[in-house]
Amino acid sequence: MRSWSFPFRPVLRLAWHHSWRRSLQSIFLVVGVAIGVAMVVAIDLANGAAGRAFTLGTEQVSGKATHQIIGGPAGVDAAIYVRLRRELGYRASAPVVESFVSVPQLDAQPMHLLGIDPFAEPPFRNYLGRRAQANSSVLPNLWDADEPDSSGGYLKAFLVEPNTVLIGQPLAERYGLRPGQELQIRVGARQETLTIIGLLAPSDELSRRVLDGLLIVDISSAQELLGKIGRLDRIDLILPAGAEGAIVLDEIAGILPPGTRVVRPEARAGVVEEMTAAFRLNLTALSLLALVVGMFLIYNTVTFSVVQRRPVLGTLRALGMTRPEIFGIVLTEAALLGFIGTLLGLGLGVLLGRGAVQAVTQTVNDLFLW
Amino acid sequence: MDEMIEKIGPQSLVRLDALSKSYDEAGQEKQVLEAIDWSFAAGCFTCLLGKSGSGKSTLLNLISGIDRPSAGRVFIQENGAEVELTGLGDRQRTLFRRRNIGIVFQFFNLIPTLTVLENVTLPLELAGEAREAGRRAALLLERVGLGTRLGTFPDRLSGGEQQRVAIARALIHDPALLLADEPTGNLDEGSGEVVLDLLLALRRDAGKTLIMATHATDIAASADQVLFLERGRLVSHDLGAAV
Repeated sequence: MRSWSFPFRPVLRLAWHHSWRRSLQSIFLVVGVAIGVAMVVAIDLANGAAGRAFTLGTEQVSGKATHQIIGGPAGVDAAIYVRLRRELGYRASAPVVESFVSVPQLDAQPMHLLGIDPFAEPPFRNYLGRRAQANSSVLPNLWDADEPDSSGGYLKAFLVEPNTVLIGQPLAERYGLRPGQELQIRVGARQETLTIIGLLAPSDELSRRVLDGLLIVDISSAQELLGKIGRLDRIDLILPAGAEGAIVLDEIAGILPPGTRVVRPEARAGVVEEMTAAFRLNLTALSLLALVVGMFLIYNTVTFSVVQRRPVLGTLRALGMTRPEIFGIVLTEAALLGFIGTLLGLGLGVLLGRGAVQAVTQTVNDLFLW
Repeated sequence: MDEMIEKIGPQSLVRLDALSKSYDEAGQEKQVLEAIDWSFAAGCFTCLLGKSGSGKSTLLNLISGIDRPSAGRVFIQENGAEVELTGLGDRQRTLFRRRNIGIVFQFFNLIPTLTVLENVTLPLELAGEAREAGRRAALLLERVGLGTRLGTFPDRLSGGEQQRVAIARALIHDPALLLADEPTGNLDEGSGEVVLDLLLALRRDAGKTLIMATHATDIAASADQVLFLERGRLVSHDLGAAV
């Protein structure tokens, strides 16, 4: 008996020629695979991008706050912040109005729009630019009273001019943005325009990551942009440790109306994470369902192709092709078309992902966060 | 008629030993071939005559190893040794067929997605002789008068041309045994004659053993021996009686 080796060349040729000559069937299979893969990729990208943004948004942007005053879906009445500072004289507090918005100029990725009071911020979020490259004329030092005016009056513009925004320097460099340029944002169905007035330099890796997803606006601008006039999403607090902290906490709790409470940031982040995780799991399950549909399409098309070609496969058997070789033709065809479909699906998934990021961000924003 | 059946002897290429085939048809056993004993001499052209349903195609399928008998054995010579084809497993039987047998079908059975040249080179490529395949196929196609149609797909050819391609495909890997199942059965008279002449000329030149199933008695006149099948039994090997 002569030695036997797998005839790759004829098997490949038969598989390729059949795929090429029966192009309608092949297109059907490729499209099925592409749609399945695209769905998984798009949802995965959307989940990943939204997840990263929310994680940074809910955890890192809390900064050094030890506690937060939060309310129900409508947030916290801004009057509480006034009482906190005037009646209790508690200065280690900072109001925040925030939401996730989509920015087409930044690949439609979800950006954390953070409305802050620049005078209340320094103890909380030092990565927002405090003492970062103070000698640069491009990078404002928002927090030191002398510097902004001497380097172009950023603080004044930030406070006085509506819809002005600060963004991170690495982000601006990546997308070729400069101070003075406009930035279009989507808030729900509305489109708004912000003007970049300055770039913030990150002081370390953490602040670089946080700044990559942040649009910082004055709190009053944020309230107008997000339709939250007179409301805050939360008030950040830095309470002393131990018994002293417990006393302050009691005093603060005393002025809070029903429905408003003090929580630790990590507890809030945990709750948000749990809620969004369930949502993201649902999306993943749906995308996998699309993949299963794609697999079913492959199975169906290949089965149809085999049944339709039974006489040809019979001829190949008569010419001396073994069963594994015939199986090799069918597998090679499926692999070839599956590969092409997967490549197309990856590209399509990235495109779809951009739209999906916006939809996922909006849903998580509306249902779970603010 | 069993006693009339002549065994050709040690120079035989194919030997059938009490070969039987039956099918289960709606719970009833249908005997298609019954205890066929025969030897086919090397280099001989044997014509299998019989009406439709007499078992000619089944006998060819058993000789080629495409089908397995219900009882009995098929022996075929390979490199001077007699191999019991019916004793081999599916894979070994298929590989044996790939090396030693060329088949011409009634309905041509060309691969529609391959060109004329690719159809003919296929058996050689399967045998692992891809380098030689193109050149040998082109020569053979030249011989069957299709040297200018190498890149044509089968659906662009007439029936006679397709059968000529099928003949070239059956001979390309130089098999010892050539089986033809009604090779002119699907052709008009003129094309049938051309194809038959070509098949017989190529067989004669290459010294191949040819077993051809047909119901056309005029073809039997050119055969070295004629076997007549009736309801699965070998009833005669006499040309005059068959005609």
